[in-house]
Amino acid sequence: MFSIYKKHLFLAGITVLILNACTKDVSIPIQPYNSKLSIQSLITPGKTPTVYVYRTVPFFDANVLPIDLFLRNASVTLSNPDGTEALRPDSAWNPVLCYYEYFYAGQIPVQADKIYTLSIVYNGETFSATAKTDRRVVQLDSVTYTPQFKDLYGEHEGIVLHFNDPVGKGDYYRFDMGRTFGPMDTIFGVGKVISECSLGKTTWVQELGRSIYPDQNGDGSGFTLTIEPTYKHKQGDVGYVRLQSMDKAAYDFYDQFDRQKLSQANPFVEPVFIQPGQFGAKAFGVFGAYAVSDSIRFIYPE
Amino acid sequence: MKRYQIFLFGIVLLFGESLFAQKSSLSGYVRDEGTGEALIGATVAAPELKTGTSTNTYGYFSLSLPAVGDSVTLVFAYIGYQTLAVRMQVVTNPEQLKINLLPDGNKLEEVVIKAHADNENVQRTAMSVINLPVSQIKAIPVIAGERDVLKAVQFLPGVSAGSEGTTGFYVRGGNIDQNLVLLDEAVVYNPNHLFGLVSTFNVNALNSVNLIKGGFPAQYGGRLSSVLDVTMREGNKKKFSGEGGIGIISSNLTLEGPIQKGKSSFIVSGRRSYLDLFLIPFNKGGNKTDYKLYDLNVKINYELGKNDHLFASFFKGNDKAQYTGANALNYGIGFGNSTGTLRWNHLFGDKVFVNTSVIYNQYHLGLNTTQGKYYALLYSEIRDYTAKTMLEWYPNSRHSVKVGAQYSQHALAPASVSAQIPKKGSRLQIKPDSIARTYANESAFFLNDEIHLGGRFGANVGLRVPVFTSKSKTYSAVEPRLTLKYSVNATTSIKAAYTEMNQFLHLVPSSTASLPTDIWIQSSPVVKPQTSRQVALGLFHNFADNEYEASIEGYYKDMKHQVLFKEGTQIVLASDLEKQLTFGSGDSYGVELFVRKNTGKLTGWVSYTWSKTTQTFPDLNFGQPFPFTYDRRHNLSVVGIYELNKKWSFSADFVFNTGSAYTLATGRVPVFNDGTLYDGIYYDFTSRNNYRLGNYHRLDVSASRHKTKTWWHHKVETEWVFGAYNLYSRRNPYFVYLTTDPATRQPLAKQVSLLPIIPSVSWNFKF
Repeated sequence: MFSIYKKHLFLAGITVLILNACTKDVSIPIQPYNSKLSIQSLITPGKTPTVYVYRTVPFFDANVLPIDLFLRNASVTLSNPDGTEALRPDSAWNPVLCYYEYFYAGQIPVQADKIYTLSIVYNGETFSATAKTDRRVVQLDSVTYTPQFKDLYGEHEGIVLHFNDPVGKGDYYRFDMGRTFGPMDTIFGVGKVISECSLGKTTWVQELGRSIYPDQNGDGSGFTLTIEPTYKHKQGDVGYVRLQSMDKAAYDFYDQFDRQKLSQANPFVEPVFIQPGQFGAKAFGVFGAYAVSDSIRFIYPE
Repeated sequence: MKRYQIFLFGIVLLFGESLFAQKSSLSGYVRDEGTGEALIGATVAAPELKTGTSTNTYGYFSLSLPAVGDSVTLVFAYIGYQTLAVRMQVVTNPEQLKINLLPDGNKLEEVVIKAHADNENVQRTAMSVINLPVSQIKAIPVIAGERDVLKAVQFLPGVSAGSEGTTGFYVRGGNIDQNLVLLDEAVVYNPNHLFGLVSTFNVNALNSVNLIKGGFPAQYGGRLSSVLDVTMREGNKKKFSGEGGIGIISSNLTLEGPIQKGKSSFIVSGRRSYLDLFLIPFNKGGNKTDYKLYDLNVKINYELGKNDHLFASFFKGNDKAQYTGANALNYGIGFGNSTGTLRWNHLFGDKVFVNTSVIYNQYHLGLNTTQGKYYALLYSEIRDYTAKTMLEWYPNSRHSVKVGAQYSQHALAPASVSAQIPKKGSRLQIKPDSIARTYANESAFFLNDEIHLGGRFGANVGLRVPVFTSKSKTYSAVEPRLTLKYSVNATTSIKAAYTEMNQFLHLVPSSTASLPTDIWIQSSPVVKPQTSRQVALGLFHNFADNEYEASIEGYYKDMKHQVLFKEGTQIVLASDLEKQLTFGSGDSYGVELFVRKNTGKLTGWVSYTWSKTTQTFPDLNFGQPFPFTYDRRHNLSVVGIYELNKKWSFSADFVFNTGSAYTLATGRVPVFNDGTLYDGIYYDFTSRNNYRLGNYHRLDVSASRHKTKTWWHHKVETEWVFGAYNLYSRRNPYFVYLTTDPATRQPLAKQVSLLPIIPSVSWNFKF
């Protein structure tokens, strides 16, 4: 009897071996990689400009923090027909991830209906792009809430934006909500952990929708966008919701970032290659313009 | 009038020998002495006359002889059987011959003229064709003692295996869907049981296995890269018999015998796994592992008379599995094939053989899988109804003509969902019955003539005209097929082949998922048929009195309208799949070396392939060429079977492959954007399939102990098989994925391996 039991246990052990995968860390041979620039700058009338200029690195490079990757010795200028401003390195504390983020900042507020040229000179090479601050403001009619909504990301709650798209194609919309968030206590995002320094603290966060919606198929009609909020909330939390109206350069850039982000963690999706954009083959980036609506106060009903 | 005269002249030139000479022909069947089973591809030669032929799928042959009244020696040969030579008088209307060959194990020296293998592989016109004797397939060590056709096929030159855990085989740079796998003429869309560990074919039910990689005869079509033609046995016509086995994964039983002695027979063969029973004690807590598979083959044949023969065959195989417990592989999967074939053979005289078939086949795959925060659902079904007729005409010793037509109706039902797991509420669901079917019609007309040009030359000339209609779009093509042979001498020949192929059904593979998320779609106004052109050149040589056969073949193949998903495709329920596809081309070239020893105590083969396959898609990889996922530069297989004595036999196989290609980012794009959701790490992919998994190699061994016993006054042959898959337990790479250490934010690469050493023991019997 005992030997039969042992035999069965042996057989079962073998089958479990077959069915269980073995996972181990491996070192991947490094392939030659030419570092590029990573540039992001979106300007809007009335606000001073900021330009994020970082360098890309080989995938397994040890440098991961903004302080290691920020290009502080670039020459960054923003010009319009009225003049040119040299932007200076600056930083802001990220209270969620608990590190400083670095960027180039200007002092002169951006003007409406101007063509701006962003120029970055780094290591003797110039990267430049233009944007026109002529986006029209599209006001929100109302903001509501739905506890259940099904989309690509599955079934989830949603903040619902209602507005009317003006006639004329070429509008691209993005969700924008500012609110206080906290006390922070848990993990959020893919692979991110709230640092010890942020635990239990409350901070101001700006949620920007990762997807940008074109008016291609609904020009001049009423729009309803349902957005899945990112940060945890409770009943009675207050947010200030706005609608950004962006240009095509911003849409093209963030759309491929969004698609790649989805493909990164999803093993059932083909990888998305980021294509060269406004700054040529040696930089990933965007220089775009947007207009922003007035905010609507939104209270989480649950 | 002039055109008519030219046509008439052509007919006279082609078939004049039979029209004007006083000829005779010998025809008949070649079968196994013990069981009456048809021997497919057995050679029938008249050495004095330097002419010969081979048996068709039903064991039938017809050989024209030049002079009535003379006596002639006919030599019948088949691998694994003793060669038989018969001296006979050629008469005007000879009786149909019934030749029975003895397996090598049975020694009756008085009828054996030459006990060595023949040179059929050298002298036949066809090239890029390999016949795998079922006896050899049974002897090759495989995983958990399960004898397997496809594992044996993967050891052949020009054939590349997928990764462990993926299904199928890849031939000369073609994707898995480019293999036409036939079981008694019915298409088997997925010839694998779960993980690709074992194939759906139960070897006890099989008669022959033939792989064609190039120089395709015109009767085959609809796929670009290969034909794996598997024929089921007919069942023992002479006595009731059976065989079976008990293994670690499954047990099988085959019963066969005459229904009406000499006229009809049956065979029933089934296999069922019992892993699910063993795993019950381990399914506690959140972990659940389940694995069930079964297959069933049934075939009945009935001789209506001297000239008519009916065959009915049926196959059903199913898999169902569930695994929960590790992030890398969480899934529920169920898939299966069903086929049914009804065939009628009719002889018009001794020179015309007609086979007419009605065929049904169905394949379905349902997959529900999660990895990390994402899940995917997939359902794919394809169902065919086919009618087919082929006439084989042997007008004279120079020609062997095959002409025919076939029609298939395909019904396809693909649906897929890939999404993030919802934080609350239910996931999306697929209901197979509610998926809209799309229908397509495929027909083909073909003509093929194997011509003995006299002297040292031979040719195989064919033409196939496929017509495909779907969604009001009709595609048609003309596919020339040509193989030329030049015999240097009796043991050496040079062959060359050119073929064009079209494929109207496509399987769209996922390059990243580790499970079969494959979806079949048909050609349409958007999806053009895949096409290929292939040229091959080969040198064939037998040595040591035909004990060894050797060949070296080179090929080049270009493929158009290949299908892949677009970058970042998120397939959602009810979405139009065609909009998610992107199209491109591929080309493959390589050299294949094959040396096989067919007789003696030690048999087996060595095959080595050097090949390169690239694809080019305007919308992928910045429009630049990239390696095919299963582009393996080096592919070496060594298979050896040694019969020590009547009691013990040993076998081993070793395989070495260059790792398959996969895509990893080479650069990291940091985005720090004011603490917004865009913050994070993005991947800079510089090229697709830019990395290789580590080389794959493993050694499998087995030892078999044979014994003959007498149970209940019946002789029973028993066999214990002790084996080990992956003897030195190499952790071969299965796939690699990237992740980030949440604490240090450092990127990490993780490699998943699947199968360590797997010892096995099984017990087989035969009565």
